Amino acid sequence: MTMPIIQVTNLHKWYSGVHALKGINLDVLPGEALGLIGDNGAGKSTLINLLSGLYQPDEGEIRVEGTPVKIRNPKEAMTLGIETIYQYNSMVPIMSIARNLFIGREPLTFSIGGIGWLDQKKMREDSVKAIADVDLHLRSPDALVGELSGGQRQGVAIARAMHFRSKVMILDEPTNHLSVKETNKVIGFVKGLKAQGVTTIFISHNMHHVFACCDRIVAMALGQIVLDKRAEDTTIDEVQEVL
Amino acid sequence: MRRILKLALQKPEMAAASLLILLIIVFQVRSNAIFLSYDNLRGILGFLPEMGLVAIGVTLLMIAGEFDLSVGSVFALSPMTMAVLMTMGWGFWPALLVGLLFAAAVGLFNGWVTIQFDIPSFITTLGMMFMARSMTVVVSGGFPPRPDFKLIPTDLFIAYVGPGQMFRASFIWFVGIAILIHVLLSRTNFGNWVRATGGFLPAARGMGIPTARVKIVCFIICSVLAGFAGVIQVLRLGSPLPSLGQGYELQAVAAAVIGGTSLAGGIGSVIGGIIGAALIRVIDNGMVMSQINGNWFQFAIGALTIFAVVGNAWLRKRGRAMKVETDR
Amino acid sequence: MKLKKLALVAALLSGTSAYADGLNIAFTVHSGASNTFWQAVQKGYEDACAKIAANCQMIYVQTDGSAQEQVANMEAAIASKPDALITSIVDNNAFDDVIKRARDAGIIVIAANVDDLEGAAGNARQAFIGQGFVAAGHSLAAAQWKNMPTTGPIHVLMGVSAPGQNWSEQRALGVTNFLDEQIKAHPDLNITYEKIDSGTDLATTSDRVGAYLSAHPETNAYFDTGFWHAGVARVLADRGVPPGKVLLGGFDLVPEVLDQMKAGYVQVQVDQQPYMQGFMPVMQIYLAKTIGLAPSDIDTGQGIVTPDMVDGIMELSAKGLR
Repeated sequence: MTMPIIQVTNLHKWYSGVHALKGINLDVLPGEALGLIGDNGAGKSTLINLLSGLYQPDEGEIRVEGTPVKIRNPKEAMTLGIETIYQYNSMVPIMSIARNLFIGREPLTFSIGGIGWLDQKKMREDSVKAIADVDLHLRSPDALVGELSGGQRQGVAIARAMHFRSKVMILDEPTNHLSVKETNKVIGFVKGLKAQGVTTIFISHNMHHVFACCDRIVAMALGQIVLDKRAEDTTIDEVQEVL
Repeated sequence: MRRILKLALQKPEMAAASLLILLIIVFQVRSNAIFLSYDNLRGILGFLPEMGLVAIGVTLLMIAGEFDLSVGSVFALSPMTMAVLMTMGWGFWPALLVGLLFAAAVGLFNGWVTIQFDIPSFITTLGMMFMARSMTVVVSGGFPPRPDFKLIPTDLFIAYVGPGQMFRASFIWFVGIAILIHVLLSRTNFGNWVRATGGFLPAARGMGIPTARVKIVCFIICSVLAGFAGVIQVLRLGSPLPSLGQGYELQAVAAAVIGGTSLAGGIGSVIGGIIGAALIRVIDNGMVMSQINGNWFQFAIGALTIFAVVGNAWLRKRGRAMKVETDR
Repeated sequence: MKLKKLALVAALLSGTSAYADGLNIAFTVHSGASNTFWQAVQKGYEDACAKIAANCQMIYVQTDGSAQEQVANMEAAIASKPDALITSIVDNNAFDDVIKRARDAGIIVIAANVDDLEGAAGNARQAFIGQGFVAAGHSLAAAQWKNMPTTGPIHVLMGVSAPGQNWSEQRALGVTNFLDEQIKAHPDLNITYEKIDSGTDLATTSDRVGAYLSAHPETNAYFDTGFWHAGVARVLADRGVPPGKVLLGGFDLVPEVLDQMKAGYVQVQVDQQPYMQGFMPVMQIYLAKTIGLAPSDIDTGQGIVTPDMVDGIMELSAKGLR
């Protein structure tokens, strides 16, 4: 029995009086591509927000690689190897690709007390490499992220997570508002991640996308998990019925 | 070449710089070459550092996504505090330090209240504008203190220096600080955080940037720069009046926006703020040279300001529309 | 705004309830508290009130020159039925109604510092204590004229500090009236003058007038409707222009101006004796309330101050007495 990379036990969260998560129990195995499905309000985003450190659970425990942890802010999540690619883009459109790639984790040539001189050469070189690694072809790391298409932006976000060697990559509704071609590209990215041994959690309310690249399906409704099966053991119809 | 032009046009400062050059030429012609005369230029360059420092601070804060309308009041508060302390027997440097610390405290208050209670900084600093102005009157005891200027190393700040004695020492301070802030914004990780915080707050927070701290630091820098600018003006003109700096907050915001800083945050530059401040001073000065009727004066200043911002936006739109490939 | 009124009324009410037999007086002005001129008025006002043990409040506006805000303050002030209201009148019509209501309610109303242009016929105020602005401007120009060159051409710059505001426009009018008279009387002297918006900020006025002087080096004199020509004196000194080459004159005594008078850059200054403008109305109110004497006009002066008077005045100015 492999040790789950993330283990969530009895997780509860209240948001402005609403019981958003009602005792979630979930084991995420290393290297698997887990698809998290559910309608709006099911609690998917809440669960993700807790794992990425934006909020803290009201009750319950989170374990990463067996150790119980308290993820107090996004930085701690990233230190633990959990990278989240948020729904409305974790990019700052008016900044360049290179700057976005290293945002919050800028390489410094020297620093005092956490503030220091940007190593812009390294940023540029590493950006080019990181983008190439996910098979994206962009002209320059100085191009503004705002100039890229939706699919390209997601690509940069994934490249970023890859570069920082995340162990778990959470993609929150990554195919929303994307064209067919770009959706396929993103699904391709996710499959590529699996090949590299990265654990992924793919959240969507579009079941076709989820079934296309995930090997395990978890469905949520009204703050609880209502289905947890391997992809080959279930069908879209079955999942739809449960929701 | 096209790519360079496209990038240049989109640079926020371009339109402001073009307009500045254009206006200088127009005024020079209209005033029969007096506009750029030695005496007049000297006057403009004397005032510019004060306006410029306030504009730089406001620009930095606007890039971080917040406003500070209290800069005009802090402009008067810092030197007033310093002057009062000096009349009580304090030395210049400790008095100056306390004056600037007072400004920093105002900045801290502005930032903390805005973030803690999640209210628009527009409102917090609007309230502070009144409070600080009133505090200045209270500190002065109603009558402006007259510190002994012989005890102040005024030369360090306002003596004429440079080729032809054209510039004041304050100009050097101004350039030095401008470079510092520019470097902070473009070459440090902190600058990256400022842009991210103002550019798209959710992304910045999601990536672990301490946005609250970033904003508060920017608030503090903005206030301290305003206070320092006020001290320079008092040293230059000799009177710590409680009415100093009135109206400067709007001029500073106008300068920032003319120079290409976005009201929405994330976009802007120190150089842009400086060009904007220079533009405003040039407009004010040139209007007098051009014999504009006194009653139409304010109209002209307002119209030119609008023109400058519109021109800026138009040029950037043209730049964006230029077709250049992003993929290889 | 409502909160401010409530606070104002509460303050006035608390003042009322605290005493048994002192008078209640309110003083509304059109300026903000950061104008040092008004600090002198306030000192005269408060000193007088202390002498007769009256409860006095000085009410400033937030926006310099805002007649609307001042009217609102007056409404709030008279709502708590003071014994008397002292006020500046910066608009010929805006204050008529509120003053009439105050009078109807039995409140003594005295105008100070600025009066209705129609004088006693303009509204129901019982007396005006202050300086006649037009007359003062005229006197200032006349006093400075003695220092002008005797041969033409003569060019004068009139700096209107706050275009549109009564006090500034009237003072400028006084100066230009005098200049017009001279033009008529001495056509051979080729006298010309120009008006500009000179601003109410030391740095701004300095820059604007400096620019003008660069463009018109033949200018012989500059008049300011306030004290901001003190900054212009600095500009002249910076440019190495000797004192007296460009004559400077203006209104109100502040230490900066006195300094420049000593240095020789400012030749004449008009003092409207702000202390008196705060002091005398209170005394008149006292006399009206105790003996029933009718308040009467007082011209606080067209006191022309010249450099020889400076030393004596400086000390008093620093204390806010002059």
